[in-house]
Amino acid sequence: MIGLMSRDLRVRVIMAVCIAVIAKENYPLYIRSVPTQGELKFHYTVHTSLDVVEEKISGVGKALADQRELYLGLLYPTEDYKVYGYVTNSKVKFVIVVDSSNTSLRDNEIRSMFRKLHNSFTDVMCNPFYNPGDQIQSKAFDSIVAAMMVQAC
Amino acid sequence: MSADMSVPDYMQCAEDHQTVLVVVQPVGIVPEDQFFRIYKRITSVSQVSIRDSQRVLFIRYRHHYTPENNEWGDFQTHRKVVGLIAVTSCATAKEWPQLSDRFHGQKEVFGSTLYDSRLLVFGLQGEVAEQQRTDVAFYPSYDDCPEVEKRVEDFVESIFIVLESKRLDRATDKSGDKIQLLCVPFEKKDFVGLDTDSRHYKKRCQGRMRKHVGDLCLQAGMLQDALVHYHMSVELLRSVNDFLWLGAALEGLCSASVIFHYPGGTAGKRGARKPGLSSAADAGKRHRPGAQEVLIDPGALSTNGISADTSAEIGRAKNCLSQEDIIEKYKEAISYYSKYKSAGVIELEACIKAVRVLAIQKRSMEASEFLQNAVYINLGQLSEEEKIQRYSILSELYELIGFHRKSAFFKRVAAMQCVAPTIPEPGWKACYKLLLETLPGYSLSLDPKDFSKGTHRGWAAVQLRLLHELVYASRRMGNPGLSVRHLSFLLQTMLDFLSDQEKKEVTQSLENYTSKCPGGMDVITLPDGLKLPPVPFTKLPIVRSVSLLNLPVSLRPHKVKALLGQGMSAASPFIYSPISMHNRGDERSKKIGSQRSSVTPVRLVNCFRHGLWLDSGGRENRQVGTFEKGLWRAFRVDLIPGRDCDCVFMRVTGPKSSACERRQDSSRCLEQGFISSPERTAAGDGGRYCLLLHYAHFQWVQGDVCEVQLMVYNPMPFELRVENMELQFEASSDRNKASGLYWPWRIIMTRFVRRDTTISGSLVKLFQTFPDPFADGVCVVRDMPLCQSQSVSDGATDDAKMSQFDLIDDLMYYNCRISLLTSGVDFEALPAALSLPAESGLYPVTLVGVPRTTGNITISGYHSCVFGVSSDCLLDGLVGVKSSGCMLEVVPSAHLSSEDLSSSVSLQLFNGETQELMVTLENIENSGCTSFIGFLWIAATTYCSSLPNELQEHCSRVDGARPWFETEKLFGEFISWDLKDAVSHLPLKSGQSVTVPIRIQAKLDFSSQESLLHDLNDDGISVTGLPVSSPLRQVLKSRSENKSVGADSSKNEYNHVKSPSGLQQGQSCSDDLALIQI
Repeated sequence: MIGLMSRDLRVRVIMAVCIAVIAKENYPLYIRSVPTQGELKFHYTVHTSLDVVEEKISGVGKALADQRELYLGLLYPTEDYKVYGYVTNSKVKFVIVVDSSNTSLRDNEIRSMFRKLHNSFTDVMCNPFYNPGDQIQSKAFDSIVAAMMVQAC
Repeated sequence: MSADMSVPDYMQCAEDHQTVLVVVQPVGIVPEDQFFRIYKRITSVSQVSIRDSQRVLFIRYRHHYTPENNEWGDFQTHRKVVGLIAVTSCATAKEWPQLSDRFHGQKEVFGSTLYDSRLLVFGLQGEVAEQQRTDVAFYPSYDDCPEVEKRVEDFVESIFIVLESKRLDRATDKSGDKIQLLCVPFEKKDFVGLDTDSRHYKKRCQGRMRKHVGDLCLQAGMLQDALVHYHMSVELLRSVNDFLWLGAALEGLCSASVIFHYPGGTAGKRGARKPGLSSAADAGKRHRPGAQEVLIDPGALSTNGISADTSAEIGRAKNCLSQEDIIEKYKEAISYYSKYKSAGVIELEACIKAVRVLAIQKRSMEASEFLQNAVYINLGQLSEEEKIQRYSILSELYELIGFHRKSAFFKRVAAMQCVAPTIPEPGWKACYKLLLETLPGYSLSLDPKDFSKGTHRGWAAVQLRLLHELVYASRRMGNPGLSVRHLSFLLQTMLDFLSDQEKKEVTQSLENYTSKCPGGMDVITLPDGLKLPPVPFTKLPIVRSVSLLNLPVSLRPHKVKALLGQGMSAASPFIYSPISMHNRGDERSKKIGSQRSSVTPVRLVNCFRHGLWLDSGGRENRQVGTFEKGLWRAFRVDLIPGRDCDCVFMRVTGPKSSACERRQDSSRCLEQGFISSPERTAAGDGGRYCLLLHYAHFQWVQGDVCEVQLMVYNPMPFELRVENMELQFEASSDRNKASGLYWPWRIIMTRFVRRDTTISGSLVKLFQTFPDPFADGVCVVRDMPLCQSQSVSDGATDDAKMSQFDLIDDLMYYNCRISLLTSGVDFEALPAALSLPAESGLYPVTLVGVPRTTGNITISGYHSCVFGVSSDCLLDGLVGVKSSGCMLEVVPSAHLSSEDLSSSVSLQLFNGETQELMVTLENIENSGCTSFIGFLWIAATTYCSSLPNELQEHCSRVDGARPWFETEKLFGEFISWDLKDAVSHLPLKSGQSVTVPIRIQAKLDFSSQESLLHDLNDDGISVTGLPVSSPLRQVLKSRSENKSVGADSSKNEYNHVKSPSGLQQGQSCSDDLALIQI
């Protein structure tokens, strides 16, 4: 019981545990995870989630071509995490990993996180000094991501 | 004996439900290879057409099967071992009874389920072997048994007869009879004491039996009947909530439907069915009447008992599940299985079967859900081997559905499992092999060439991890060569992603490995055929530019034209003298070490996707440049897309004649086909002519030490030692080999900066290299206001803008000379060793070699040895250095050895002061020649900020017949001579000498540029004098009377060639002091 309670507490503080931006060609432009856990683990998680993203994108092309839905929904649940995906029209992918125990997060909240991320990413792209395809090093983007990863309420 | 089935068959697929299981086992001592030879022959009989019917029996063979799994044979009949083929060696009749007993013992193991068995005896001959027995076959040896397959076919037919009779028997059970309750091993205790008369119980018995009959029908090749039975069974079992068996019935339904829909099988290549023999479903489709025949099989038609409903009116299409329904039913079945912990294996196998079906349907997302479920099925304690197997199969299945990354992930987990600490004998080889297989999933190739294009883009963190694991696994495998190769690859391709600490660690371990096994340039071929290409360390150090250096002035070949008298054809073999009148820029920089006032660095950024090159556009007849008398030295810089590039505008002042010389050089290059077609644009297209000076506009001389300068830097946070660095070259005597668009390049050193220098915009000409090298382009100059772009055309200058260039501070130039190495016949390269300080800036390295023959030579790259790994770095492969090599011509040496001829003297004069030099020429040739042609050439370099740091040349040619004198004065005249007297003594007889007086007067005008006077501390004038040879093999030996000059002028201390440092410290107070070096 005690374990469960402390877990809930943690859940309330942390929203996303990892946020990644992946280029059209499927290499990471940006990846950031909560420092407390193994960074490499999230690299693996996000990397493997690309399989599902690709599958979903190709699936969208067939069935839902007219629907401009960028949100891909839950990519796959693992024991500890849930992985959500989002793809922009230019096929840049966003991946958000949240803790599985974080049941308070609704689909809508995830969507709004992605929308925020997309807006911030658009700002990055608008920067004339940013070369599309380079690693994102924008501080503004960084702080948006940081905000999503810490405070929920 | 555990009641749980613990060993899953990861290879299972839906169509296996159709097969009957036969176990093939050795009895007694059978050599393994012999056994498997026979096993292979037996398994080739995988489907047998049954005589007199359209049916086909499929057989699944196992050489190992656990009795626990056999216990589940009632649940799904394809799990039941129905046949046993024993293989045994028997040499003498004596052994026979014993072996026979053991065979019977073997039969006992699967006794309850066996329909039939066979014993194949090899080696026994004689009386015993001659007896005719149906269950035993005798063969003289493993090699002499032509009838094994036939025997197996007969055996299968006998199994079919038993199967068919069982099917009929079960199907015709009277409804009034008590139907036996089939159950799985773990259920047995649950049913003790149950009311066997209840309706519920009866239904349960009926449902299970229906399901069982369905299984038998499926095995017996009666697909439609099976479907009907399964449907009925599902209804019965659903009504009594017998979930486990309901699941089995649903799965049976799925299997039958899959067999119907996919006659080719779902197992991929492995289980591909022979095309010649069609499955029952296939046969049904093709021969309708035949199918009908199956349906009206007497057994199926018996109208009593539970088979009453197997009526023909239930259409087969209705019975068969649609493709979508198959998956739905699989899901349902799996959800029922999951209620029973003991049915874990069944659930897992069902998942795998469903995944295979989905893979065929190309529904990857749903397949991944099934796999995800399979991952979480807990089978209790798995052995390490089982874990490896499980991860491998997961990886395979993910690959099957196109999830390559996930597949690679699981394969890597499997690889790690091979060497888990709990394993007593870690399988490093297996681990390594599996790791290699994960490479494509992580988009990693082991060819460094794939990484040479621009910045590396990929999942660096995971790729790094994988490479580290490869290194470690190969080391533990005991193959240090592989470790070195992988580690080199890691260092070369992932350098940008390594932290300083990691760089240190990686290089340390690399040095450790190479101390045992030095790395080389050979291709490593792995046992499975994979080739690991060599990894040249092009980034250790990073080479930014490669330039061939001209010979020192005194050694340069000079083409003598039309001076040889009327009698000689100009097309006669070229005769070179070491006099050159061009390209003094290099010389100056090398000798004096400061180019401060002559170069201007500019940083340019190519913002296009394609390459650009920058050309100064200098044309001789139209002196470009903002300096009054200066001639912009032509150069070209390649701009790589998306990169910035430091380049330098360099000004060379010289006599017009030298410019002409240059022109000739470049046209000569054209003749040689080095450049495709500058004429095209040169003609009438003002300003687009490009000079080729940066190309090999000079020649090297056979036998002379020639130099190539590399600008390198060390990206490592520690000192980098490079050993055995040497040039690589290709010598070609065929000039046409070099044809094609062969743009030479030369990036002039940056960092020599002068403040307040303005550059004319007209000098910046950009051309696209591709597709049209001569089209004007645009370049963005960084450090200028944002996106300041210039479309540059001749004459459009914008000095104001250009002057905003951020100029870097002056930096001292120093040349680090290293020795070279040898190889080959044509070019003797001399090895050099160098040590680059941590994160050094650009650092010049000069590699030296001696051409031994004449012809064209291409410097194609360099060889180096870093951390014990030797690498051959080709210039082609270098990032940031765009060149296919450097090519130039090596000309035959003149007959004079240059050492005899060159001499230099330096003297220092105050402005206005006059000195006289006595130069003695002596004919040391003994052959008593009568005529003499020679040159006296004096180069003077001045170091004085008031002068644009130029090299003045005074060239004088002395001709035996026609004395000839020429001096060019660009500014002031500080040197004068009178050769008339000397010439009158010509030709010199052997041993004779003549003395030529040369007056040198420092007469420099400092008034024009007073602002520069404060820089005078490293100014000076240097004059180099080089009397040179006669093409007619007559020698004039010059003896500069340095000593006497020095003594006379009482300026001994300045009579040395000044080193740059000397110049710097030198005469800071003597504003009007000029240093003259002769």
